[in-house]
Amino acid sequence: MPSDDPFPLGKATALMAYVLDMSGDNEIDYELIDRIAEGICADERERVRLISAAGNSQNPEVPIMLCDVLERRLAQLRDISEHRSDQDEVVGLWAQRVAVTALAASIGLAASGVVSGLSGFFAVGGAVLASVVATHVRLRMKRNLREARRNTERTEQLIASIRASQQG
Amino acid sequence: MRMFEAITSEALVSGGLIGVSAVVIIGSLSALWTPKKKRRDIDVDAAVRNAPYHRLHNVIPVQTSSSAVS
Repeated sequence: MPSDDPFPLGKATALMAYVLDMSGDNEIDYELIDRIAEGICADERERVRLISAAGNSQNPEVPIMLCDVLERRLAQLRDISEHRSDQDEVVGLWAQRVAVTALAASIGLAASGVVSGLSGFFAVGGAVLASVVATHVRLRMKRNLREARRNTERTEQLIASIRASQQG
Repeated sequence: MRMFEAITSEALVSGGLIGVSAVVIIGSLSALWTPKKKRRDIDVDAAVRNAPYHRLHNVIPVQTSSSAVS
């Protein structure tokens, strides 16, 4: 049943309007459209409005165009997720391993008497600090990665919902 | 080249360990903080207000400020 209630002006309707504007001859600000899409994906209400507007649209091509714009955003988000995953696996893991090795080496050498005194203190202390920092950095990188993955999943869900609203 | 013999093994080892720790700390922190790219300041609210809503005529009913349903 198509709804007769007018849709309020907001991010969802603005995105539809800009997407319809795209078929014209004027300048398109892709970054602006991306920002509006980002705002929609994060806000539950705007997502629902977009799905409902796509379902009620008289023009059957509008949902397809919306999905295309959202998929462009999805491709960028996937890029970011993969980049962050690489960073975590390459830099984060390396830093942790080097720090732990330095820690073991410094404690061993201090115990065997090769390093002693102030320089020994700084060597062991520095290695401990390096392990702490490396672990903290790794945790942060994993958190960034989680956030990027969640954003990707939410955008995928929104695209799937818009497509599903077409079958109704 | 004679001056390298003056470096004791203690100085070498502890210097090496401290150097490695410093590389780990500086390297991992810079990898964490560098990717924060500056984003262009876009006023999303102004863009939403100025959107070409006239394009939505005959596509979906939109609330207009005159409260007439299109």
